[in-house]
Amino acid sequence: MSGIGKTSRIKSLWVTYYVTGCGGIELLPVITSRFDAERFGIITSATPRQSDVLVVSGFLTTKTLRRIIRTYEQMPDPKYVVALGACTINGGIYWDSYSTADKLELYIPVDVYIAGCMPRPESIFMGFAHLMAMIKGDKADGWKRYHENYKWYKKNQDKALGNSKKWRVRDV
Amino acid sequence: MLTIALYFAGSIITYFTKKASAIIAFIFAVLANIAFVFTKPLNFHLANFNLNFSLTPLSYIFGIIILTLASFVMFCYPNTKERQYYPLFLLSLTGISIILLSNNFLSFFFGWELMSVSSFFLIYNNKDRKAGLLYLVASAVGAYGILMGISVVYAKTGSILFSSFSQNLNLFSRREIVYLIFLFGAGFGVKAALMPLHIWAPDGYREARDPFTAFFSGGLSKLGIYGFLLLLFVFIGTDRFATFHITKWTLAWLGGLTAFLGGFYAIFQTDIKRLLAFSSISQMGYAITALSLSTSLGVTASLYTVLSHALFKGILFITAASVILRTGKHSFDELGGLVKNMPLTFIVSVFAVIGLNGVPPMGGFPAKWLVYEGLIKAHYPGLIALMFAASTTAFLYSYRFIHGVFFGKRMPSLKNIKEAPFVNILSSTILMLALLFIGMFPGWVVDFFSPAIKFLGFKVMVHTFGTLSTPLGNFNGFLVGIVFIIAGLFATIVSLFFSRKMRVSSIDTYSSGEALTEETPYHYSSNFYLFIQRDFSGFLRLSARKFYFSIARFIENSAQGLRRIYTGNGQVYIWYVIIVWIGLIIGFLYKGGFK
Amino acid sequence: MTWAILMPFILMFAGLLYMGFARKIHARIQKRYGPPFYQNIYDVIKLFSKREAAFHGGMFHFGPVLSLTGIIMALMFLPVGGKPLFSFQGDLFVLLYLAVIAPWGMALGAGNAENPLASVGIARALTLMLGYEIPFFIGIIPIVVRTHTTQIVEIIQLQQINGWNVILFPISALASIIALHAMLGNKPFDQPIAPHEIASGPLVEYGGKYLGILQLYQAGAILLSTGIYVDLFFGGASNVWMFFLKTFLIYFVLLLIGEVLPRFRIGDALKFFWKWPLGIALLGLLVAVLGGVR
Repeated sequence: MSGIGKTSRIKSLWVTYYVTGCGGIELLPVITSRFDAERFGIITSATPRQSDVLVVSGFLTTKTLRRIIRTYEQMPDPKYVVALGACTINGGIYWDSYSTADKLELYIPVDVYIAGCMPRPESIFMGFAHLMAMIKGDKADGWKRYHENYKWYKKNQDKALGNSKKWRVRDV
Repeated sequence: MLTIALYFAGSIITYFTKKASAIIAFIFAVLANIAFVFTKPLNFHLANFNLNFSLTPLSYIFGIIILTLASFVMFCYPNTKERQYYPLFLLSLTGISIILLSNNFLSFFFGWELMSVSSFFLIYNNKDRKAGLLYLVASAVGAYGILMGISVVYAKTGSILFSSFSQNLNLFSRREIVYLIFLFGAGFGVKAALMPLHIWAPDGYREARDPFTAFFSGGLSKLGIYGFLLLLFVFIGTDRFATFHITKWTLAWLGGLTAFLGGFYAIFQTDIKRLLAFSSISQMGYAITALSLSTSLGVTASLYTVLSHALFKGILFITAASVILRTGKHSFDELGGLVKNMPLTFIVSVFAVIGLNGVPPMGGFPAKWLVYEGLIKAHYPGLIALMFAASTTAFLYSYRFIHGVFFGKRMPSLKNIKEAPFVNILSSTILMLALLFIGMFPGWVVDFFSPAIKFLGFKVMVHTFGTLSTPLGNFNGFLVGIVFIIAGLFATIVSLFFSRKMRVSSIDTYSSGEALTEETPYHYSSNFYLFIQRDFSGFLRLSARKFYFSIARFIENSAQGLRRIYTGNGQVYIWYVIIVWIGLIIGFLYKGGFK
Repeated sequence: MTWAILMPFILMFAGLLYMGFARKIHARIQKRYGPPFYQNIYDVIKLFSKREAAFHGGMFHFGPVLSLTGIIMALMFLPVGGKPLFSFQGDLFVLLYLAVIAPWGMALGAGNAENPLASVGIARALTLMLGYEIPFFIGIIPIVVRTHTTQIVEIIQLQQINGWNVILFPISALASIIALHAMLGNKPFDQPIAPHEIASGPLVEYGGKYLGILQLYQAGAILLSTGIYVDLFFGGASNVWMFFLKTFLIYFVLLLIGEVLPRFRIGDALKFFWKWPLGIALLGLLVAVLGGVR
């Protein structure tokens, strides 16, 4: 992608926040007046079809994981995933629960992890800055990895959620 | 005369043929149409009356529009297998050609009645008898109005020729002329569905046989406009009518109310054809307002509305006919998502709807533009507002039509609908191209109308091939069309670059992550404008139809009151006879008896 | 002639800057910094640089195309500054009806999105149009009837002589500016594109280049609506910079009004329009008629 395309992608990130657990509480000051993410061009997009970044914050149950995967597949390329909080890295404090899936990166490709339980707004901003640097350096290629390794992702998704037409409507 | 004979012969012949009746009907229609152009005047005597038939410039214009539309509609696939469809269609065309060609009141009335009765039989069906009967009664009331007017004219002038009426106009006082306008206007107003004489129209259009409805709204209702033009400008005369200020004002405001209220009621309809029926009522209101201004711009606007309405309403009703033929459903609640099954029908309907909205470059815009210019020049500022409001309601109901039939998620039951019949698509496409032509070359259309405009006694407006000029402003239809094509090409080219397409199925749509299936009714079509309906529910409860039916009920109830006297019991009648006898005897003796 | 062809794009670019300014002002009122004023340009370029865009059918693709066509056409016929373009053919009614092509294109495209949220958005947009078009138009009628012309260029020239129409017809100008607020789609009248209620309404399935085209349409529509208002009521403009200044001032005032108001319910918005702006407009029409129009 050319220079102006890359710059515009860095300067205008539209985010879909998928807030499943407690991590979302720290997003509110980020997007409102207190810390103001909009001055970097980061705004909330209304639907996944219009967004570039999927921010998953919180633990993943089977119910929400199906919808996260659907939302991720509805976004147009190129798309990036930011995993917020310890629950998405290795299960966090719910690591031994019967209803959570532990690692997000087995199901959809993740570009940036923001560790913490929960991460403060300053950390979230550092995560976005890291994402912007990765885009600039052509390293944020989660969407390419998803297409190339789709069989592996699909195997993991089926193992956790069962293969059913009820939630998988698109063959990627 | 050949025209009338051909239509009548065609009607008789197609009654007796079965399979080939469509082709025979079409051939007769086209031949009669061509014969119409070459009609020569004819005079003959019948009893005491001198009947005159000839082709005036005004009837030429109306004949071309109506009869050509009839040929196109005749070409379409009929939705019914009834034997009487083509004969009755051709019989109504016979009536129309008699009306258009006659220069005397007797055959005019005969043609009017023939047309009304034959179209009544095409509306009447066993499922909804009330619709057909309401049409018959309303037509009859209107026809009696015309007959009374004719009788008054005959009594005063002693002749049934049109020319004798207009020459002997000074025999009538001003008040009598207003009464005549009222009487004749009732008849013409019923046909053109002017409010408050429109109550037959919504159900009547809905119950009419399907492709015939396209002709009904595109052709038959125009005869009301023809009648008004004859009445106001040929009989009474342009200069004379221009002095009837109160009549002009009343007629203009009635037309304005028709335009707005027709459009307003159309927004809430749930049946396809009823919505198009209210739309027809609304557009005819434009034509009547325009002609009641009695200026050159007004009459041009009226004729232009007649032409463009015939075209786009023909297309829309043919679309409705195709949809009902293929799906068997005619309510928005059950349709939707047909754009995948019927793409060609959809494209033609979109262009027709663009014409209906009056958006350049299609042909509806010059008509609306001329109406506005005429209203401004004739100093009717309040009416311009009402007409613009009517035009805004057109955006709403036309989108409802397109959305309810073609857009949204397709129900599983509609999966295997085929495309519309080829003849329907061909007819609609030719009509659509004609609509585009009259939108881009409005000057040509005014040229076409100029004999009729001069015949009615007006000066033709300034125009070139692609532009129209009034003292107030210009409209360059050709330029707008060219800019539209170029801008469209540019936008198409822009849209083809950049991202590639990610084809998604209809169940892969935004639903907050939920999974949809084919059967999920993820479709918003019923109660499309519920927010308006809720807030105006009080106003929507008023209805002219309820008013008329309440009058009917009142008369019936008071007639019931008379049952106290006319009890139907023979013994009571004998008592009445005895009482009257005794009263007579007493009176006789009181007066002096046998002196 | 070249100005006539370039002007729509200049105006769309300026519209993107206006939208950026709007976000900056919105942010500053909320005591935060806000994006730079050229942010919307980055947004549009990013949208066009997306690799894919969801596609539902032919009309889904041609909806934004028709939208772009409509807005380019309407902007070509709008008199802007002193630049000659097709303005000698810029009749008022032609412009008002050309301005309908673009929302119509968006409506057709959104219908094919097979999503009820899009349909609800379009139903709301049309209901709102029924509300605001009538007072806007009634506000314009006194000007047309008094000056006895429908050429916008002549109306502008007459305003240079007689004074701005906003001073001659203040009541009508007030009614029209309330209607203009709804035409722009700012709060409190942004029911059609309500992000939180109906997930941006007609734009719900649009992404990538289609959304970019529709953003350009929105940017152009801002300039078109305020441009018509400035030409009719504020005496047009003698050059392009004055035109931008005047339209931006009107846009700024309407933004500030919108800052303090939440979004109306759609039924309430319709009732509001048919009560207050319609009443004010009819009053203005009455005053103009009685003031010796005939």
